[in-house]
This record gives sequence, structure tokens and C-alpha cells, in this order.
Amino acid sequence: MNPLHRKLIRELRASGGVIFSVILITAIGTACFVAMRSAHRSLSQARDHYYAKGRMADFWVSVKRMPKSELRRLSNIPGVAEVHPRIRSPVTVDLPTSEKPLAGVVLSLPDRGLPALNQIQILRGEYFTSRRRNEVIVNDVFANAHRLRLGQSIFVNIAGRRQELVLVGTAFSCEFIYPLGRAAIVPDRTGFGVFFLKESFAEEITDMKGATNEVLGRVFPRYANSKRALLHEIERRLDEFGVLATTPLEDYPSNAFLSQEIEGLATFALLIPLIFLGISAVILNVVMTRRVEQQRIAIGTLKALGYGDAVIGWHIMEFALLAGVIGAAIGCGVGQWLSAGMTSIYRQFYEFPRLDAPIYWDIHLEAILVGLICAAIGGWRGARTALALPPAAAMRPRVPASGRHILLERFGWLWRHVHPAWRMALRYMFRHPIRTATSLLACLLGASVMALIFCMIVGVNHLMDFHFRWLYRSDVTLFLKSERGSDALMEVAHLPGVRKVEPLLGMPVTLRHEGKEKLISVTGIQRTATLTLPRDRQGHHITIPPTGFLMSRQLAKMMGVKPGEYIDWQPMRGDRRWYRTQVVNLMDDYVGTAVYADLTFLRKCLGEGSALNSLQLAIDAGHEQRRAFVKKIRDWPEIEAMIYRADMENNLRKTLLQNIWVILSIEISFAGALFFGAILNGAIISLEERRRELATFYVMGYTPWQIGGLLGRESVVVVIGGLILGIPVGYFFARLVVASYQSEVLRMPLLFPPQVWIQTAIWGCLFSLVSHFVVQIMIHRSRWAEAVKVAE
Amino acid sequence: MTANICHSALKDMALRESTKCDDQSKSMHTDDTTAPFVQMRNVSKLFVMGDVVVEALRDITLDVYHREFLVVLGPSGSGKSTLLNLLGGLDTPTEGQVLFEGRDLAEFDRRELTWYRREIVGFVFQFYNLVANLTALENIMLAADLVSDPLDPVDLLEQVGLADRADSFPAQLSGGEQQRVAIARAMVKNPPLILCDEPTGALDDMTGRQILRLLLNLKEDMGKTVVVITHNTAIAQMADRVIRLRSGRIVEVTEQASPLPPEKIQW
Repeated sequence: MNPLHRKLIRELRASGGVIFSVILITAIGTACFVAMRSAHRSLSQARDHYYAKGRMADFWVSVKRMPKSELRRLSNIPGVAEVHPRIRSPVTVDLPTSEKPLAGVVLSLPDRGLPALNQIQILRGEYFTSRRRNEVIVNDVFANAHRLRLGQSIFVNIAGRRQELVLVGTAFSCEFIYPLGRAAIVPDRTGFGVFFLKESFAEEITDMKGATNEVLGRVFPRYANSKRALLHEIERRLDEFGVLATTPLEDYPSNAFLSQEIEGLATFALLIPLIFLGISAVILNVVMTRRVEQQRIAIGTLKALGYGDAVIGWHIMEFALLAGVIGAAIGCGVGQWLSAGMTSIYRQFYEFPRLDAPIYWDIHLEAILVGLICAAIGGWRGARTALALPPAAAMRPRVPASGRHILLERFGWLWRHVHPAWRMALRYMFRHPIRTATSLLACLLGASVMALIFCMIVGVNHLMDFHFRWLYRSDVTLFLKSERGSDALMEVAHLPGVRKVEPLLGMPVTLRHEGKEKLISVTGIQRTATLTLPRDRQGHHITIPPTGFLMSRQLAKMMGVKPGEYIDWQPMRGDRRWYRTQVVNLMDDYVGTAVYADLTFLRKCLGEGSALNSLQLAIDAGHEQRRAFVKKIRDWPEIEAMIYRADMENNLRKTLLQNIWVILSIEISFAGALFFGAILNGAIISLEERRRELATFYVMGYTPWQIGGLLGRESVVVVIGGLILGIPVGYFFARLVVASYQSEVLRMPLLFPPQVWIQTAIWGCLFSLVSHFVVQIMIHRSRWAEAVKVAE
Repeated sequence: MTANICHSALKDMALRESTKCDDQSKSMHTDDTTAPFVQMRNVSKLFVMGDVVVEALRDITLDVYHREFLVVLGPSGSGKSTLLNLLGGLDTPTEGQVLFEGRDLAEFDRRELTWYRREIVGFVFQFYNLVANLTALENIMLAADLVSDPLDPVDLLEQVGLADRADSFPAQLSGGEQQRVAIARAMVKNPPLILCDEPTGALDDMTGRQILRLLLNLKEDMGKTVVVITHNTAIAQMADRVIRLRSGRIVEVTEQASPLPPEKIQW
């Protein structure tokens, strides 16, 4: 080994804490890079693989009822590659493992052979046989959650009739990778099932002989961009069959959620590693410049001995590159482990038959390269400084920095009140502006990432409280199979445990305003209703106008309509006349979009005197009353679906918050590492540079704690500065993130209460204290008596 | 001239301060000049550096008395600095004892050692060791903060003739000026023992004499014990007692009945 390499290795060993902080931050950057990019690739490859394998449809058209023969109307639309009919029907399921009837959806499949589109993949059992007509295949996750056995009978309520089905297989469907029940925003593995029936049997039990209520289709790739126009044409051609909804793949809930996650991950996979690797490059820059300064004489001597610039420059760069390689190598390992963790969390959300976290060598290679490039950028300034030194000048000790007053001292009155120890810290910081700015920047980014995380937690909690406690207050919502009169209200009101019942009338309509059209459901509710309370952003209740609409702000934005303006709408049922109604007021909500109208007003518009199609219930809290209620309600044949608010909320909290805590703990640790690394690096450099000065303090009678306090003052200024500047930057990040979560399906609220400031400050200080503790240990272990005479 | 100004000023201050000195541990050392103040008993100090063992001090026995101006003389590597570090409580001997008021410094815990360095000892270094980031006055104030009853830093700066340089940073001061600030910094805690490590080593002879005058005044006017280590034999002429060290051993102890003032010594 050549002597320069030996020197390098010894220096690496001796540089301890400083190199540790650089390696730590590089490792975190690389770990984020590897973890997020690997998880992103696993997820997007799995999606693409299963979509291709299952021949995922490009669009869904939901109609009231249409003869299958009429499908030919669509075949000559330019761009439509294929269309296929299917029956889709909501279903409630009675299972011995659940007290309550569970929600599900029935889909028809060809009696023999797989369908042309949205094929399923059998995971257990087999495809339909000719032995029974009532055979059923259930989505695998639901079947496993309820321990359903092959050959077991399952009882479902479909189209008002109780049917016995026989389980022949469990399957995965690319259409339900993120299976959402009615009005749900996260999958409920136990509460929502997908039931595939033979087409002949489905037609029979839903009275759809020779007919269909859903059309799936694909478009030619070159028409992919004009899909919406194409769907519009389909709507026009199928108008007479009562089009209820047309959904392109992008808006199909399962795909929309999955794709939003994949896109978000791609952005984060770029942004977060960039922050960490950028900071590690800046810290390396400071470390390398300092190292060259320390080795001035050695470098001068090497030059005088005849070493060329290239050899010396490379020798300096090697230190930085080695730190980069070690950091990147550790980061690759940790990143792979995190990628496996992220994938296992994704497995809880997304139903893939297989979702692995393989080692993507190219990503690891990229990560090491990126780590090396950042290290090289960090080391470059040091190497350049070393090369610029003429040997004679290098061998002379550096001219002491001239003492001069700093800007702050111009504020005489203020400065006089500053203790000398603080003056020392402030002058030191001002005289090393790059070093101070580096530490400040690292703390700033650490604080901003923490503030962003705490802001998201507050946002998610607020979203859930707003949605489940303020806006929707009913304990149970019953969706009826068909419209009923007020007798249904009476019937339910008399069930045991029911305290209150309020009627709702949901009507699918087409809204039209200034050339924009949208299919949506208008909900009629009583003006005196208390189980649905529309609110504004501050949480104030907004009353339902006697005439006109109350509309979600998001929907109004999408339609380009302002309060007071009129909007055209056409109900998808009945006489399908066009109406013009005023949008009286706007409301705020975070999940989905809604239009509310007075129940009487809506009924009058539709000419349906006392119609209702869903009911909101408040029921007694007692366990016995609830049991009695459930027992009665499961036998009531009118129900299409039932939602328990508490179940939905718990499920959401469980899946969302439980996973969020895992991810957040990692993210907070990473953000904390920025504080830790910045403070450690700054303090250690300061400690090395001012060794003799600090030793003098020791000799004067300062205790190691007091010496630590002198260094700690600089850290305090950096941490406070980082927090003060970083938290507003965190707010800016939060705005960016929230802006990217403003879809029709889900919108994140932007809240930045004092609690976010306090939590960020506490955590930031905590990580900085840990770092200072490490410095304090070093101070305690120092041999100050020897340092006191060391030449500077 | 500066030295004379300092001389009278320090005298004034000593008078004022002697009435203030109610600290029990400090007041003990003010009277009895015959009693040993700090003692070294059969002290040896070994440094182990890898396979090499260096014997810095061998079997040193030495008494330091109150109000004494003691010069420890020796060439480079003779063990002077090690001896000073042991007297100052900065290091512990490998063998033997360093006694303060009869108590072995080795028995002092961390807190007591800090108290010793803070209240009893004032250090003056060859390269001044001033804090580059603090002005002359602030350097003194920083030491003043350590004790409950310090001398006035502004007065002290005036006494060492640097009242007009209070706001200057070390880099803006000459070597002699920096050493005067360092002496004022050692004095501000009002310790009974001043340990000086080559205090004139980095100065020209004219400035060196001014510094030595200041140090002598500390003994004569304020009743301090001053220990100076140096390789400069000329300085020995102003000592009450001279201890010569060679290769870690005391080779000669000389008492001088009439030491010369610094202005008269041959450099």
C-alpha cells in the first residue's frame, strides 16, 4: 500500500465523528433513494404486469339496463377496440364470522372460459364447473379474512332475494387491487367482498336475461388521449338505456388510488434523496476545506517533495469519495431493508397475488453513483484549494484571521448586553459563514421535513374528524335497493335500538356548466336533518337552502361555478328533462364531492312525492340494542348496502394511522439525523479548530460541562435559526403536498396549528441534544493539559 | 514607564482587595511566608508512548512558599512544563504526591480539581492563549465569570496599561500587549498562585522586561506566589529561589538574598 493510502486510512480512522456525520447523511439519502425507487418499481411493475396479464379494461360504462344485442351500437365508434357486457350488482353477505351483514359486489363471468377483459387469476380451487349453477368465486383476501372453505355455502342478499352460493375458488382480480366498498376511501379486507358468478346465474337472479348493466371496453392505443371524447360519444349512443356513469381507467377508484400512490412515490423518490445527498455534499465541502486547511503544511511538503497536482488532488478527493462509497454502501443495505418494509405495508393496502421487494441491482448501482457524484462535488472545493496552494506558501502556517467586529456589534446597546461567551459564539459563526450556513441549512431542512410530517398527521386527523364526526353523524347508513315511500322510514324507525331516522334521496344527474359536464349524485336531505351536517372549512354548519343547490367547493371549482350562479342538470332517471338551478352556497368536504338539495325541493323537481332511497340512522350505543338491531336489519330485504360509521372510521384509522406511524417514525428519524449530523459536524470541527482555546478555558477553571456550553451556544443559535426558518419552509412543503392531494376522490386539508411548531421544535431540540451529548462525551475524554501547548 | 504605572496601580488595588478577601480558602495563604504553600514529594512522571517510556520527572521534592518568586530553569525536554502541569492540577504524578494545604491533589475529585484551578491557580502561557474571537476586555471578563468575587476587568486592563485597547481583538495586539492581557486574565480571579510557562519566550527583551515587571509586582504588591518556568537563565537573576532541572531531576536549588529587578538583569 502506498504511503498516501496509509495516510488516508489513518486520517479516516482519526476523523471519527466528522466523517460519521457525513456517512450518516449520505447513507440516509442513499437509503431513501434505494427504498423509494425500489418500492416504486415493485409497485408499478406489479401493476403493469397484472393489468397486462388480466387484460384490464380502459373504460367502464354503467347503464340501467340494456339488451346485450345493442352493444353493436358501440363497435363502430372510431377508437373503440372491443366492448363486453357484464352484470354488476351490489350485494349483502351473511357470514357466520360476522354479526353484521357485509357489503360486496357481484360480477358476472362467462360460464366457461375466462372473460375477454378483467380476467381473474384463480389462487385456490377452480374456475366454474358444470356441476352447479350457483357456483361462486370470491376475492382471495376476503375469503381468507373469513376463512371461507372451498365447497362452503355462502348466503347473500341480491336483488331482494336470499341466495345460496357455493364457493369453488378464490381469485385475484386486477380490477380490485385496491378494493373499495361503497363510500369507502380505504380498503376493508373483512367488510367488502367481490363475488364472481356464472353469467347465466347472474342474469337469472338479477332479472337481466339477455341484458346487461355494465359495459367494459378497450380503446386502441393511439386513441388513449381522446378517451374522454370517446366516452362522451358512448354516453350519447347509449342514452336511451339510462347511462348512470362512464368511468375511464384513470378515474376507476382502484386504479386512481394505486396510480396516485405510484406517482407520489416517484416524486418523493427524487425529492427526499436530493435533500439528503445535497446536504451531505455541502457538509463534505466544509469538512474537506477544513481538512486541507489542517494539512496545509503536509500538502506543501508533498508538493516540495515532487508530488504532482494530480496525485495530491486525487489524494484529497479519495477521502470524500471513500466517505461517499461507505455511506452509499450502508444506504444500499438499509434502503433494501426499508424497501422490503414499504412493500409489506403496500401489501396491506393493495391486493396483489405477489408483491416482492427484489434487489434491483441497477438501482443500487445508480445509488452508489449518485452518492459518489455528491461526494465528489463535496470534495472538489477542498481539492481545488489544495492544488491552488504554492508549496512555499503552503508550508508556512496560515496567517491568523484578522480580528474584526461583526455586523451585530453595530447595534451597540444590544451588543453590550450580550455575554462574552455568546459574543464568542456569534463572532465565530459570523466569521465562518459557509460553515454556519451549512449547519443552518441542514437544520432548516430537518425542521421543514418534521413540520411537514406533523402537519400531515394533523391533517389526516382533522380529515377523519371532519368526515366522520362533523359531516356524517349517523351510526348506520342504509342504501335501499329501490326508491321507497315514507313507509320505509316508519318501518326502520320501529326497529329495536333506533333513536332517529332521516331520509335521503340520492339521484344520479348530469351537471352542465359552461361546456363542462359531469355525472354526479345529487342528495336530497331534510333541511332539519341532524345526521348530515354540511359545513364550511371552519366547521360552521351551513343550512340546506329551500331551493337550489349546496355544492362542494371542489366540485364548484371543477365546474367553474360560483355561488349565486345557475347550473344545468339532468336526472338520469324519470323524464330526463334539463333543469336550471341556482348554486346557493358552497360547503367544504375532503372525501369525494357532493351536491345537496332540500329533499322536498328535489322531490318536486323529479315529481316524486315522498321518495327516498337511503336512510340515515342514529342507534343506541348499548351492545344488546345493537345486536337486536343487526338481527332485525339483516332480514330486511330492502337493503342494498349498509355502512357502519364506526367500522369505517376504525378501519380507516387502523390502516392509515398504523402504517403512517411506521413511515413517520422513519421519516422523523431521518429528519432528526439532519439535526444530529449538522450539530455533530459543526461542533466537532469547532472542537478541533479551537482545541487550544478550549484547553485554556479548562486550565482557567472551566469544567468540561462549561466548555461544552461554550460550543453548545453555537449549536443553540443554529438550531433555533434552523427551526425559525425551517418551519415556514415546512409549511411551504405542506402546501405543495396538499396541492398534489386535491383530487376529486380525496383532498388533504392544510392545517398548521401551533402544535406543529411545538412538536417540530421539541423533536429538533431533542435530536440536537443527543448530538451535543456525543460532543460532551468527547470533551470529557479530551486530554486538555496536553492541548494547551499545541501550536495552532 | 508602563511598568511603573502598573506597579503603583497594582499596589492600590492590592490594598483595596485585601479588605475584600473574605474567601476562607484564599485568606489562609496571605500571611505565613515560611509555610510551604504547595509541596511536591518524591514526584515522578512517566509518559508511555507505544513501546517508548519517557521519564519526564524523577523523584522531585519541592516546596513552594507564600509570596515567593520562584524560577524553574532548564533546557528544552528537562521536564519544566510537566512540573508546572502537576503544580497546576492539570496532570497527576505517576509516583509521589503533590500536596496543597497538606492534601494530596490526587485525592481531589473532578469538582475539587476544577475549584483548585479556578480559585487557587492563575496560568500565563508562552503563546498567551487568548480567545481570538473575544476582545481584550472580553477575554478578561470570561475568566472573571468563573469566580464569585473577581477583580474589576476594566481596572485590571488599565493597570496593565491597555485601557485604550479594550475593544481590540488579539490579532490586533502586539505580542507584549497580548501577554499583558493574558496576565490580567490570570489576575482577574485573584488567585494566590500564578504559574507562568515561558511568559517571555515569544517576546523581545524590552517587552519581556515589562512583562517580568508586571509579574514581580504581583508578588511584591499583591502578595502572590509566582512560579515562572523558563530556559532563559537571565530571568533567574530576579528570583527569590532558582530550581535547575535537567533530564527530569532537580540538579540545583539556589536561594538569592537580593534578587535583581527586571530592569537591571542582563538579558
